[in-house]
Amino acid sequence: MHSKDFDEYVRRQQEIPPGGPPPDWNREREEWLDYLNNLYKEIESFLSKYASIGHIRFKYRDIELNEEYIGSYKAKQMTLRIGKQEVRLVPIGTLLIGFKGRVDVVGSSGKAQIVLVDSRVTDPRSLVHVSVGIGEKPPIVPKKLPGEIQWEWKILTRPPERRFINVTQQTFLELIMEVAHG
Amino acid sequence: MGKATLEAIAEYHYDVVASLRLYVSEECPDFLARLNEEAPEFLASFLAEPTDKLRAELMKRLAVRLEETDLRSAFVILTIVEAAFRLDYKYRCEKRLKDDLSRVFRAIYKDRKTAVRLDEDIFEAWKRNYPDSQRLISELRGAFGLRDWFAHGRCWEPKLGRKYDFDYVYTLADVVFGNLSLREN
Repeated sequence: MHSKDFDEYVRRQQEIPPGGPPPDWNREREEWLDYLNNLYKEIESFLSKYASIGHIRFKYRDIELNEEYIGSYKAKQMTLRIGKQEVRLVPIGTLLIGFKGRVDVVGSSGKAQIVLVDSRVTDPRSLVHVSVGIGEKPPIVPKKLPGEIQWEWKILTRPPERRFINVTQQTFLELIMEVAHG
Repeated sequence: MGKATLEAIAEYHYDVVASLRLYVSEECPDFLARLNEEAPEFLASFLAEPTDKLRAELMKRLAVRLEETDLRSAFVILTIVEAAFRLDYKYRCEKRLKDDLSRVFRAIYKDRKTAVRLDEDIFEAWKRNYPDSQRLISELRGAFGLRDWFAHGRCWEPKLGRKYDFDYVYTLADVVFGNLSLREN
Protein backbone atom coordinates (compact mmCIF):
# COMPACT_ATOMS: atom_id res chain seq x y z
CA MET A 1 0.00 0.00 0.00
CA HIS A 2 1.27 3.49 -0.87
CA SER A 3 1.56 5.99 1.96
CA LYS A 4 -0.51 8.33 -0.27
CA ASP A 5 -3.43 5.92 0.09
CA PHE A 6 -3.01 5.94 3.86
CA ASP A 7 -2.79 9.75 3.89
CA GLU A 8 -6.06 9.89 1.95
CA TYR A 9 -7.69 7.39 4.34
CA VAL A 10 -6.63 9.43 7.40
CA ARG A 11 -7.83 12.64 5.79
CA ARG A 12 -11.24 11.12 5.08
CA GLN A 13 -11.66 10.04 8.68
CA GLN A 14 -11.30 13.68 9.81
CA GLU A 15 -14.17 14.94 7.71
CA ILE A 16 -17.16 16.37 9.47
CA PRO A 17 -20.54 15.75 7.87
CA PRO A 18 -22.11 18.94 6.49
CA GLY A 19 -24.70 20.78 8.51
CA GLY A 20 -22.96 21.51 11.79
CA PRO A 21 -20.74 19.99 14.46
CA PRO A 22 -20.22 16.23 14.68
CA PRO A 23 -23.10 14.45 16.39
CA ASP A 24 -22.90 13.16 19.94
CA TRP A 25 -22.90 9.44 19.13
CA ASN A 26 -23.73 8.34 22.67
CA ARG A 27 -26.77 10.56 22.63
CA GLU A 28 -27.78 9.23 19.19
CA ARG A 29 -27.55 5.69 20.51
CA GLU A 30 -29.53 6.44 23.67
CA GLU A 31 -32.26 8.23 21.71
CA TRP A 32 -32.62 5.30 19.34
CA LEU A 33 -32.80 2.82 22.21
CA ASP A 34 -35.50 4.99 23.85
CA TYR A 35 -37.55 5.00 20.66
CA LEU A 36 -37.06 1.24 20.45
CA ASN A 37 -38.42 0.77 24.00
CA ASN A 38 -41.40 2.97 23.14
CA LEU A 39 -42.14 0.79 20.11
CA TYR A 40 -42.06 -2.35 22.26
CA LYS A 41 -44.39 -0.74 24.82
CA GLU A 42 -46.80 0.19 22.06
CA ILE A 43 -46.74 -3.35 20.69
CA GLU A 44 -47.38 -4.76 24.17
CA SER A 45 -50.43 -2.50 24.42
CA PHE A 46 -51.67 -3.59 20.95
CA LEU A 47 -51.51 -7.21 22.10
CA SER A 48 -52.56 -6.79 25.74
CA LYS A 49 -55.94 -8.44 25.11
CA TYR A 50 -54.17 -11.67 24.07
CA ALA A 51 -51.31 -11.39 26.54
CA SER A 52 -53.64 -11.00 29.53
CA ILE A 53 -55.09 -14.49 28.91
CA GLY A 54 -51.70 -16.02 28.07
CA HIS A 55 -52.33 -16.56 24.36
CA ILE A 56 -49.42 -14.35 23.42
CA ARG A 57 -46.22 -14.13 25.46
CA PHE A 58 -43.47 -11.52 25.24
CA LYS A 59 -39.80 -12.30 25.70
CA TYR A 60 -36.83 -9.95 25.58
CA ARG A 61 -33.13 -10.57 25.17
CA ASP A 62 -30.13 -8.37 24.47
CA ILE A 63 -28.41 -8.66 21.12
CA GLU A 64 -25.19 -6.99 20.08
CA LEU A 65 -25.18 -4.34 17.38
CA ASN A 66 -22.15 -2.74 15.80
CA GLU A 67 -22.24 0.55 13.96
CA GLU A 68 -19.61 2.87 12.57
CA TYR A 69 -18.94 5.82 14.94
CA ILE A 70 -21.05 4.30 17.75
CA GLY A 71 -19.19 0.99 17.98
CA SER A 72 -20.52 -2.10 19.67
CA TYR A 73 -23.57 -1.89 21.97
CA LYS A 74 -26.50 -3.95 23.22
CA ALA A 75 -30.11 -3.51 22.11
CA LYS A 76 -33.23 -5.38 23.19
CA GLN A 77 -34.83 -7.86 20.83
CA MET A 78 -38.50 -8.63 21.44
CA THR A 79 -40.01 -12.04 20.71
CA LEU A 80 -43.73 -12.67 20.49
CA ARG A 81 -44.72 -16.25 21.15
CA ILE A 82 -48.13 -17.02 19.62
CA GLY A 83 -48.85 -20.72 20.22
CA LYS A 84 -46.24 -22.52 18.12
CA GLN A 85 -45.40 -19.43 16.09
CA GLU A 86 -42.65 -17.05 17.00
CA VAL A 87 -42.25 -13.51 15.68
CA ARG A 88 -39.02 -11.65 16.45
CA LEU A 89 -38.56 -7.90 16.40
CA VAL A 90 -34.88 -7.57 15.55
CA PRO A 91 -33.28 -4.12 15.98
CA ILE A 92 -30.95 -3.41 13.04
CA GLY A 93 -29.42 -0.03 13.87
CA THR A 94 -29.74 3.71 13.89
CA LEU A 95 -27.17 5.43 11.65
CA LEU A 96 -28.96 4.57 8.45
CA ILE A 97 -29.50 6.78 5.43
CA GLY A 98 -32.80 8.52 5.96
CA PHE A 99 -33.87 6.44 8.95
CA LYS A 100 -33.22 7.06 12.62
CA GLY A 101 -33.79 3.40 13.26
CA ARG A 102 -34.88 0.11 11.77
CA VAL A 103 -36.43 -3.00 13.27
CA ASP A 104 -37.06 -6.15 11.24
CA VAL A 105 -40.16 -8.17 12.04
CA VAL A 106 -39.22 -11.78 11.31
CA GLY A 107 -41.62 -14.70 11.27
CA SER A 108 -41.73 -18.21 9.84
CA SER A 109 -43.11 -17.06 6.51
CA GLY A 110 -41.52 -13.69 5.95
CA LYS A 111 -39.84 -10.53 7.07
CA ALA A 112 -40.96 -6.89 7.18
CA GLN A 113 -39.41 -3.58 8.18
CA ILE A 114 -40.51 -1.00 10.71
CA VAL A 115 -38.49 2.20 10.39
CA LEU A 116 -38.16 5.35 12.47
CA VAL A 117 -38.61 8.24 10.06
CA ASP A 118 -39.32 11.94 9.90
CA SER A 119 -43.13 11.98 10.00
CA ARG A 120 -43.24 14.67 7.27
CA VAL A 121 -41.67 12.35 4.68
CA THR A 122 -44.09 10.28 2.60
CA ASP A 123 -41.77 8.65 0.09
CA PRO A 124 -38.49 6.78 0.82
CA ARG A 125 -36.79 8.61 -2.08
CA SER A 126 -37.31 11.91 -0.23
CA LEU A 127 -35.36 10.73 2.79
CA VAL A 128 -32.27 12.50 1.50
CA HIS A 129 -31.98 15.66 -0.58
CA VAL A 130 -29.08 16.28 -2.92
CA SER A 131 -29.49 19.16 -5.38
CA VAL A 132 -27.77 18.27 -8.63
CA GLY A 133 -27.31 20.46 -11.70
CA ILE A 134 -26.63 18.93 -15.09
CA GLY A 135 -24.72 20.92 -17.71
CA GLU A 136 -25.82 24.52 -17.50
CA LYS A 137 -29.08 23.73 -15.70
CA PRO A 138 -28.85 24.94 -12.10
CA PRO A 139 -29.56 22.49 -9.29
CA ILE A 140 -33.16 22.27 -8.16
CA VAL A 141 -33.21 23.10 -4.47
CA PRO A 142 -35.94 21.11 -2.73
CA LYS A 143 -38.51 22.99 -0.65
CA LYS A 144 -37.82 22.85 3.06
CA LEU A 145 -40.39 20.69 4.81
CA PRO A 146 -42.63 22.74 7.10
CA GLY A 147 -42.31 22.38 10.88
CA GLU A 148 -39.87 20.44 13.03
CA ILE A 149 -38.73 16.82 12.68
CA GLN A 150 -40.98 14.42 14.56
CA TRP A 151 -39.64 10.87 14.56
CA GLU A 152 -42.30 8.24 14.08
CA TRP A 153 -42.31 4.47 13.60
CA LYS A 154 -43.72 3.41 10.22
CA ILE A 155 -44.07 0.14 8.40
CA LEU A 156 -42.10 0.26 5.14
CA THR A 157 -43.73 -1.92 2.49
CA ARG A 158 -41.42 -3.82 0.19
CA PRO A 159 -40.53 -2.79 -3.40
CA PRO A 160 -41.87 -1.88 -5.88
CA GLU A 161 -44.45 -0.04 -3.74
CA ARG A 162 -42.29 1.06 -0.79
CA ARG A 163 -44.88 3.08 1.09
CA PHE A 164 -44.80 4.22 4.69
CA ILE A 165 -47.77 2.98 6.72
CA ASN A 166 -48.57 4.22 10.21
CA VAL A 167 -48.05 1.67 12.96
CA THR A 168 -51.50 1.15 14.47
CA GLN A 169 -53.00 -1.84 16.20
CA GLN A 170 -54.69 -2.91 12.96
CA THR A 171 -51.64 -2.50 10.70
CA PHE A 172 -49.41 -4.25 13.23
CA LEU A 173 -51.77 -7.24 13.57
CA GLU A 174 -51.89 -7.49 9.77
CA LEU A 175 -48.10 -7.42 9.69
CA ILE A 176 -47.88 -10.31 12.14
CA MET A 177 -50.31 -12.32 10.00
CA GLU A 178 -48.17 -11.60 6.94
CA VAL A 179 -44.88 -12.77 8.44
CA ALA A 180 -46.19 -15.58 10.62
CA HIS A 181 -48.25 -17.75 8.39
CA GLY A 182 -51.56 -16.14 9.39
CA MET B 1 -31.08 1.64 -15.65
CA GLY B 2 -32.47 3.06 -12.42
CA LYS B 3 -35.83 2.57 -10.75
CA ALA B 4 -37.19 0.00 -13.23
CA THR B 5 -34.01 -2.10 -13.00
CA LEU B 6 -34.08 -1.94 -9.22
CA GLU B 7 -37.70 -3.02 -9.13
CA ALA B 8 -37.01 -5.93 -11.48
CA ILE B 9 -34.17 -7.11 -9.21
CA ALA B 10 -36.42 -6.80 -6.17
CA GLU B 11 -39.17 -8.81 -7.84
CA TYR B 12 -36.71 -11.56 -8.70
CA HIS B 13 -35.28 -11.47 -5.16
CA TYR B 14 -38.69 -11.86 -3.51
CA ASP B 15 -39.65 -14.65 -5.95
CA VAL B 16 -36.52 -16.57 -4.95
CA VAL B 17 -37.15 -15.97 -1.23
CA ALA B 18 -40.74 -17.22 -1.58
CA SER B 19 -39.57 -20.27 -3.56
CA LEU B 20 -36.97 -21.14 -0.92
CA ARG B 21 -39.54 -20.86 1.87
CA LEU B 22 -41.84 -23.23 0.00
CA TYR B 23 -38.98 -25.59 -0.88
CA VAL B 24 -38.09 -26.34 2.75
CA SER B 25 -41.68 -26.36 4.01
CA GLU B 26 -43.89 -29.40 4.52
CA GLU B 27 -46.23 -28.02 1.84
CA CYS B 28 -43.60 -28.61 -0.84
CA PRO B 29 -44.86 -31.52 -3.04
CA ASP B 30 -41.58 -33.47 -2.84
CA PHE B 31 -40.84 -32.63 0.80
CA LEU B 32 -41.03 -36.26 1.99
CA ALA B 33 -39.28 -37.77 -1.03
CA ARG B 34 -36.43 -35.28 -0.80
CA LEU B 35 -35.91 -35.70 2.94
CA ASN B 36 -36.03 -39.47 2.51
CA GLU B 37 -33.20 -39.21 0.01
CA GLU B 38 -31.09 -36.65 1.88
CA ALA B 39 -31.68 -37.49 5.52
CA PRO B 40 -33.73 -40.66 6.09
CA GLU B 41 -33.02 -40.77 9.85
CA PHE B 42 -34.10 -37.20 10.26
CA LEU B 43 -37.28 -37.93 8.29
CA ALA B 44 -38.08 -40.97 10.46
CA SER B 45 -37.76 -38.85 13.63
CA PHE B 46 -39.73 -36.03 12.04
CA LEU B 47 -42.59 -38.34 11.02
CA ALA B 48 -42.65 -40.00 14.45
CA GLU B 49 -42.89 -36.64 16.21
CA PRO B 50 -42.31 -33.33 14.42
CA THR B 51 -40.95 -31.58 17.49
CA ASP B 52 -40.00 -27.89 17.64
CA LYS B 53 -36.35 -28.96 17.70
CA LEU B 54 -36.67 -30.86 14.41
CA ARG B 55 -38.59 -27.98 12.84
CA ALA B 56 -35.82 -25.66 14.00
CA GLU B 57 -33.32 -27.85 12.10
CA LEU B 58 -35.29 -27.30 8.91
CA MET B 59 -35.50 -23.57 9.60
CA LYS B 60 -31.76 -23.40 10.16
CA ARG B 61 -31.16 -24.69 6.66
CA LEU B 62 -33.64 -22.18 5.29
CA ALA B 63 -31.95 -19.34 7.18
CA VAL B 64 -28.58 -20.15 5.57
CA ARG B 65 -30.13 -20.18 2.09
CA LEU B 66 -32.00 -16.92 2.73
CA GLU B 67 -28.86 -15.21 3.99
CA GLU B 68 -26.93 -16.24 0.90
CA THR B 69 -29.76 -15.07 -1.37
CA ASP B 70 -29.92 -11.75 0.46
CA LEU B 71 -26.19 -11.23 0.00
CA ARG B 72 -26.27 -12.09 -3.70
CA SER B 73 -29.19 -9.74 -4.34
CA ALA B 74 -27.46 -6.92 -2.44
CA PHE B 75 -24.38 -7.51 -4.60
CA VAL B 76 -26.41 -7.29 -7.82
CA ILE B 77 -27.93 -3.99 -6.68
CA LEU B 78 -24.44 -2.62 -5.99
CA THR B 79 -23.24 -3.60 -9.46
CA ILE B 80 -26.17 -1.64 -10.93
CA VAL B 81 -25.28 1.40 -8.81
CA GLU B 82 -21.64 1.17 -9.87
CA ALA B 83 -22.58 0.90 -13.55
CA ALA B 84 -24.87 3.93 -13.23
CA PHE B 85 -22.09 6.09 -11.74
CA ARG B 86 -19.63 4.97 -14.43
CA LEU B 87 -22.09 5.59 -17.28
CA ASP B 88 -22.89 9.03 -15.87
CA TYR B 89 -19.14 9.82 -15.79
CA LYS B 90 -18.78 8.74 -19.43
CA TYR B 91 -21.86 10.73 -20.47
CA ARG B 92 -20.65 13.92 -18.76
CA CYS B 93 -17.21 13.57 -20.40
CA GLU B 94 -18.46 12.75 -23.89
CA LYS B 95 -21.14 15.45 -23.90
CA ARG B 96 -18.67 17.99 -22.51
CA LEU B 97 -21.21 19.31 -20.02
CA LYS B 98 -20.40 22.66 -18.44
CA ASP B 99 -21.13 22.09 -14.74
CA ASP B 100 -18.30 21.79 -12.20
CA LEU B 101 -18.64 18.03 -11.68
CA SER B 102 -18.47 17.38 -15.43
CA ARG B 103 -15.37 19.58 -15.68
CA VAL B 104 -13.67 17.59 -12.90
CA PHE B 105 -14.63 14.37 -14.68
CA ARG B 106 -13.15 15.63 -17.96
CA ALA B 107 -9.87 16.38 -16.19
CA ILE B 108 -9.82 12.80 -14.85
CA TYR B 109 -10.76 11.47 -18.29
CA LYS B 110 -7.61 12.99 -19.81
CA ASP B 111 -5.50 10.67 -17.62
CA ARG B 112 -7.64 7.65 -17.07
CA LYS B 113 -10.20 7.54 -19.88
CA THR B 114 -12.76 4.89 -18.89
CA ALA B 115 -10.36 3.21 -16.42
CA VAL B 116 -11.69 5.62 -13.81
CA ARG B 117 -11.72 4.52 -10.16
CA LEU B 118 -15.17 4.43 -8.57
CA ASP B 119 -14.11 5.45 -5.07
CA GLU B 120 -11.09 7.74 -5.44
CA ASP B 121 -12.23 9.47 -8.64
CA ILE B 122 -16.01 9.32 -9.08
CA PHE B 123 -17.27 9.24 -5.47
CA GLU B 124 -14.66 11.79 -4.39
CA ALA B 125 -15.64 14.19 -7.19
CA TRP B 126 -19.34 13.87 -6.32
CA LYS B 127 -18.67 14.54 -2.67
CA ARG B 128 -16.49 17.60 -3.33
CA ASN B 129 -18.83 19.15 -5.88
CA TYR B 130 -22.09 18.36 -4.12
CA PRO B 131 -21.35 18.60 -0.37
CA ASP B 132 -24.93 17.61 0.52
CA SER B 133 -24.19 14.22 -1.08
CA GLN B 134 -21.41 13.59 1.48
CA ARG B 135 -23.45 11.40 3.84
CA LEU B 136 -24.86 9.36 0.96
CA ILE B 137 -21.44 8.91 -0.65
CA SER B 138 -19.99 7.87 2.71
CA GLU B 139 -22.69 5.18 3.07
CA LEU B 140 -22.09 4.04 -0.50
CA ARG B 141 -18.38 3.69 0.24
CA GLY B 142 -19.27 1.47 3.18
CA ALA B 143 -21.63 -0.63 1.06
CA PHE B 144 -19.00 -1.04 -1.66
CA GLY B 145 -16.83 -2.74 0.95
CA LEU B 146 -19.38 -5.55 0.69
CA ARG B 147 -19.30 -5.45 -3.11
CA ASP B 148 -15.48 -5.70 -3.18
CA TRP B 149 -15.43 -8.53 -0.66
CA PHE B 150 -18.06 -10.50 -2.61
CA ALA B 151 -16.54 -9.78 -6.05
CA HIS B 152 -13.11 -11.01 -4.89
CA GLY B 153 -14.35 -14.39 -3.78
CA ARG B 154 -14.95 -13.51 -0.10
CA CYS B 155 -11.34 -14.37 0.66
CA TRP B 156 -10.99 -12.10 3.70
CA GLU B 157 -12.99 -11.26 6.79
CA PRO B 158 -14.99 -8.17 5.81
CA LYS B 159 -14.78 -5.22 8.21
CA LEU B 160 -17.97 -3.37 7.41
CA GLY B 161 -19.30 -0.53 9.54
CA ARG B 162 -22.72 -2.16 9.59
CA LYS B 163 -24.73 -4.96 8.06
CA TYR B 164 -25.48 -4.12 4.44
CA ASP B 165 -28.41 -6.39 3.66
CA PHE B 166 -30.65 -6.37 0.61
CA ASP B 167 -33.25 -4.05 2.18
CA TYR B 168 -30.70 -1.43 3.16
CA VAL B 169 -28.73 -1.60 -0.08
CA TYR B 170 -32.02 -1.26 -1.96
CA THR B 171 -32.83 1.88 0.06
CA LEU B 172 -29.38 3.32 -0.70
CA ALA B 173 -29.79 2.63 -4.43
CA ASP B 174 -33.30 4.06 -4.41
CA VAL B 175 -32.03 7.26 -2.79
CA VAL B 176 -29.18 7.45 -5.34
CA PHE B 177 -31.48 7.08 -8.34
CA GLY B 178 -34.06 9.40 -6.81
CA ASN B 179 -31.61 12.22 -6.04
CA LEU B 180 -28.46 12.24 -8.15
CA SER B 181 -29.93 12.52 -11.67
CA LEU B 182 -27.34 10.09 -13.06
CA ARG B 183 -27.30 10.20 -16.87
CA GLU B 184 -26.50 7.48 -19.33
CA ASN B 185 -27.81 8.84 -22.65
